[in-house]
Amino acid sequence: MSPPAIETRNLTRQFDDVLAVDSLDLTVRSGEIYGFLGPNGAGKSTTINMLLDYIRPTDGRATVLGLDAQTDIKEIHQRVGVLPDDVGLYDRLTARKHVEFAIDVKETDDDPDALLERVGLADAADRKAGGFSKGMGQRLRLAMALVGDPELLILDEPTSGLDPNGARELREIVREENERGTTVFFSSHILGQVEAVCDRVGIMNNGRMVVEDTIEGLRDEVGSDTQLTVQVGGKPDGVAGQLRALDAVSSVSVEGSTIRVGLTERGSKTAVLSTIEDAGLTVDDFSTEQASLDDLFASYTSKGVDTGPEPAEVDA
Amino acid sequence: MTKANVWLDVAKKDFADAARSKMLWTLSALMIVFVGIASYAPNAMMEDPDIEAALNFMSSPMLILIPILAMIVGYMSIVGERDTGSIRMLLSLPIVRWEVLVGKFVGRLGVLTLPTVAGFGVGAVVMVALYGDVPAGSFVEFLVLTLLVAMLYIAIAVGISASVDSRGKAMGLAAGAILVLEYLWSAVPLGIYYLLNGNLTMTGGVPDWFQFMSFLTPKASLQKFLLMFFDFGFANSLGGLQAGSDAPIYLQNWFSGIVVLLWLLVPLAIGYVRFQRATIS
Repeated sequence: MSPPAIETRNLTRQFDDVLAVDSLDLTVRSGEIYGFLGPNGAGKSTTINMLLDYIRPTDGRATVLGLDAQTDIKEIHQRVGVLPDDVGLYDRLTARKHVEFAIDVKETDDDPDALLERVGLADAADRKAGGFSKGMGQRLRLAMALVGDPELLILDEPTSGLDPNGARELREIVREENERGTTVFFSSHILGQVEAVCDRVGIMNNGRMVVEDTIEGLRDEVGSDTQLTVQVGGKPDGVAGQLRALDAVSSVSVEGSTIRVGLTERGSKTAVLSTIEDAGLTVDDFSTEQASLDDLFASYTSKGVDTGPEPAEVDA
Repeated sequence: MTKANVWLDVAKKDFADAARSKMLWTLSALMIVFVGIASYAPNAMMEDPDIEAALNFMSSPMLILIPILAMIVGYMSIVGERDTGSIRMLLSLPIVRWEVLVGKFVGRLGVLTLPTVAGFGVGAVVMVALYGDVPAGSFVEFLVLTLLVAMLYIAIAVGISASVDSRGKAMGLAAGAILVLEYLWSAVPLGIYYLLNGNLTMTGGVPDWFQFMSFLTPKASLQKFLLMFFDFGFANSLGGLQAGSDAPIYLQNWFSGIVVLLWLLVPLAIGYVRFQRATIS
């Protein structure tokens, strides 16, 4: 049984009067894809910075691949591929030189061109990084992170600066790497970027982990209610009672000529619409809306906003 | 397994980066022009110049120029990477902070050494052409002194660069170090003497501690130490550095070797400690 890819216990970092990370217990199992979520300033980057020894915790401890994140730095960085957030490139060096440097330092036998090909930068291999767009820079950083076929990939906001196509390609690479046995730890402030690939997600807010679950688990929590909104011609008096009597209708509200009906999973839109028409009303328009994970994400991450000052954005 | 000499990769990359910038070539051109002119000037100015005069003519400006160039080459070496965030890329690889520091020191030393050697090479050619000879011994001795001065000041510059978190602070400290060590140092022993005695009249000669303080700068201690081995062909001007046999230990020339070693190691050590503690963001 491999040790957890990442484990933190009571990990804490205080910046002056801001508690950026507050007693974080996080376990990333070997072999999984873990989505590390939260709004900007939630403490994600500070946590990752502590895993990489860019920042020292003020309390608690962290291990990466079973090694102490503060003392076994070289060993950890040899076995981990990192795409840090907000990382500069060497403007005067070409993309290939960047990858070659990582290969030299890690002493691996990777082919720089093959790695650049993989991230879609083959054509730009001989161009200097100074002229790269944000997305190209991000692809190059990913190529460097892949050097040495790491056991664990730590990707801090990897999709930032990527267009939707680039983000999709990144997710494909993440999935491929994971199929080869690589654990992936992937942070983002956008749930949609990690939802499609992650086995588990943890959502951070105000320095604390507010929920940790599988995507399926989160979906169950959201439930699968559908909101059906119907515009009718005429006064929808009386129809509400009939609708409530229908099987699988969880809620009905009427406002002017608008009827809102909450349907559980087994509910039928057709039954609702025919009930309305049978009541002598014409259906002018209707729309349905699925309660989404985004709503859930928003509900977790907006909590606490009113109870105290937001921690300042700590990009550190 | 992690690689043992990663600092060498850092040094090589740093040098390659400098070679692609204008820095290396600007420095080379500057050095070549400077040494070329300095080698030629005595011929134009004097009736019957000899080679020693040519070398003498070059030595002072060169020893003023090198510390300034070393600071320019080195002060941004580490803090510059913190500015752009590329330090995060370096440290995301299996490179630890002392390896960044040593790699930067060696890389930047190369960036200053190469142009200096190129300049001296051109100087040698000019001297042969003008004086029919090159004072090989003195010339090489002076080159050694120049490169060692470069090394000490690169150590100071890289130490400063590792110690601070902004370009402005690095620039201020670098300028301050040059000002104090190169131009204002003579005031330090004088000031202490004044504080101790309330006047500056040194009856009965200069006290030993005063001499010790006077020779404490990187350049003076280096020259004093090197006098054990050679006199750069201009012994007369360095007479004050030669210790008498009855002088106390700390005025002996070999003792200056220890001071030189401290000038090399202490700035780098301070830089290391501060960089090691720094939050990289």
